[in-house]
Amino acid sequence: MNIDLNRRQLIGITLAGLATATLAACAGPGGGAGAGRLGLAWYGGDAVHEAMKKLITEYAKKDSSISISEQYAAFADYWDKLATQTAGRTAPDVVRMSMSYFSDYANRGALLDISKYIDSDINISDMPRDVAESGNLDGKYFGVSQSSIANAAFVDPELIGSLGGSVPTDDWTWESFADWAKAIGASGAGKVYGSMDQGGNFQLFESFARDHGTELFTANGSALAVDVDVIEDWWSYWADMRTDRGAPPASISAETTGFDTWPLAKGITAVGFGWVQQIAFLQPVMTRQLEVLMPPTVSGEAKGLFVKCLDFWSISSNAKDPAAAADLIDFLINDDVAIQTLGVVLGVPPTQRAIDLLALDPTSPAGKAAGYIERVRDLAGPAPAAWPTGYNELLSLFARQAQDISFDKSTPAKAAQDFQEQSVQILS
Amino acid sequence: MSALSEIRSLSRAGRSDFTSEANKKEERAAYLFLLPWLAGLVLITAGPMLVSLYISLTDYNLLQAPNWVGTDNYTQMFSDERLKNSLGVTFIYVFISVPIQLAAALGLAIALNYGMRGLSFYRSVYYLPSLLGGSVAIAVLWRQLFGTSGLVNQGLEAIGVANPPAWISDPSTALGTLITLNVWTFGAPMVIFLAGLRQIPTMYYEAASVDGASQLRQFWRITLPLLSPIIFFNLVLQIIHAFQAFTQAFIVSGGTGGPSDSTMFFTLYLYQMGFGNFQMGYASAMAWLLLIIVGAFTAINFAASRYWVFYDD
Repeated sequence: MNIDLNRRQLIGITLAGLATATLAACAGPGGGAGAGRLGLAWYGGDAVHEAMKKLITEYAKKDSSISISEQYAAFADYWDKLATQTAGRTAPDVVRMSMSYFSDYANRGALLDISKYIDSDINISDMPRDVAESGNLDGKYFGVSQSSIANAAFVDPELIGSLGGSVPTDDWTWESFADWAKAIGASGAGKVYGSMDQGGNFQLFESFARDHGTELFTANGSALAVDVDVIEDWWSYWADMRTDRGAPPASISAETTGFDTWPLAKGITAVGFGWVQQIAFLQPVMTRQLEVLMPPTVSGEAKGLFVKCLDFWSISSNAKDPAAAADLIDFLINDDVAIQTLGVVLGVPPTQRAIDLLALDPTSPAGKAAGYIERVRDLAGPAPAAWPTGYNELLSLFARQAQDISFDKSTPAKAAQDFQEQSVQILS
Repeated sequence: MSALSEIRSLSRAGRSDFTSEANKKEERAAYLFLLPWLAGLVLITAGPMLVSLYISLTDYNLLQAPNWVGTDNYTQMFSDERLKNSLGVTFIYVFISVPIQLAAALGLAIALNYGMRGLSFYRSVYYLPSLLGGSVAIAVLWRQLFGTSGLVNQGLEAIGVANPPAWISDPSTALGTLITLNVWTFGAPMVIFLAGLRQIPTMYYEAASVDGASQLRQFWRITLPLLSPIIFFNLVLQIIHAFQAFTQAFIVSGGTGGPSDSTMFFTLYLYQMGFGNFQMGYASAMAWLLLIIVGAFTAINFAASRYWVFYDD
């Protein structure tokens, strides 16, 4: 019965192979880890990955009873994977959570209410109130802030000087900014423009909206609070900028992807805008030195500007050992070694203690960012509530409408109307 | 029982009828050998398909349990302007790139079939893009090539074209660059054409030459009819393939389908709905719509094939 035996063996091997493959597929990193094991997930670039991996080694030295399995990816890929894992109840225990998705995840039960760990296991008392409360939704904490952020203008004094312009100061208004940017565009003669096109920047628009007296969203986040005329004004403003070379034509702006393709980085514009810590990513891809200014305002007062947290450490609702996860988060936020290792790769640290500890060189990009946060903290208005569920969808809708205007496929009035109408559906 | 006697008993069974013990054993063995494939089909293809059909009838945000909504997702598609736009973009992409791609593949296959020197080298060179064309690396390369100051525009400027277009960041040309990318991957159908051309008996051409038929006439009267099953095969395959295009648009547009939705393929919109906006129910319904569309085009192709595909045997 030689043949039969071989056949059985073959089938046995095949089945064993299948079973192994199935088991392997079930045993992903992180998710459902039992006692003594924690899954930790984050997104970011290489600098973030390096620092985080080093931290995991450090944590092992501190608490050898916990073994941490890591999972990391670039921003866009991270969310595909996390959403899928959350659906399968296998999300890593501790996750880096972006403000853009925070409400989506928290309101849908994917994140653990960590209120009972706040102050006992996780110390957030060193954070300014606006930053600490960014992780609070309707009285419950779903995240611990890992950074302080504020909108900022990045300016290139050397380029401005070479075009005979004067370097602006913090007190510019949108009106004076437009005049200035168009003058730069005029001397730039089609090679250099005043400012990067911010028509599609929903996050900068939030400051603009607040300058006009309302928040961007209603208090419960179920609708836009900003008037449709303000949206139209914003888009008309940038259309006018493009016409007079205050901002580059649409096809140049459409090429912007990573920091190295920012028109500011390529010397095509003298000004760009973003969250202040982005200077630390921009500066390395440029030769000229950037300076940080407050974004223009409507009246000269920066009450529309705000300081809050951009990203959080959160605990998945399927975490097996939330207390251990909470301890890990406290380590990431407050431990001296963790603070030193992370530096500003996750943004300007949320606590003043951490900023002091880092003792950043004020002329370095990170130092400029940290200095900026300190400078604007008292000038800025109160931080808005957490962005509502569906924020991410609005973010891309806003950018798309702005792009349609810039390619003459829509008008500011029509696009503002469209945005208002679609926001009702998205936020409901 | 030795192997020899087993074979003997088998041949006896073959002579009588097919219900013998040995035969059943063979059958069982066949299914067991099929098992790995069958398990794959059920677990990895059929199972998820059924689940996706169910999800398409629900409101499902990935993070919470799905909610039954019946056919709402399907009716919602009728009033979705972006979906209609994405269908338009996809149709343009399929119906322009596939014919050009097949024509290029056939043209080159014929040229190569003339028995030039170093055939296998050229065959590899032209086949290479097919292997690479769907990859992320090539999409990234395409982005660089067709950038405002990319290689293509540097070339154009060198030959005196002032202000060349901003290929990938202008809505009027962005889709064109993706079509070009797809056409460029003509290698796979080319290799199949080449094999088909080799199958055509040379005696037909010899006979035609003797009768004084021109090269062109030979092509129309001999090559095309005898190659028609291969053309048909390539056509069906490439249409299905093109409808599912995703990577190129995703990378070249940075995941946005921009500028201004001009490269928003149906698959890209589906992805954005599912993973960007957490509307997995709607995204699943879209996947089923795509299946229906691709199925319909394949059916039309098969129906039409009766009128133009010629089977030699």
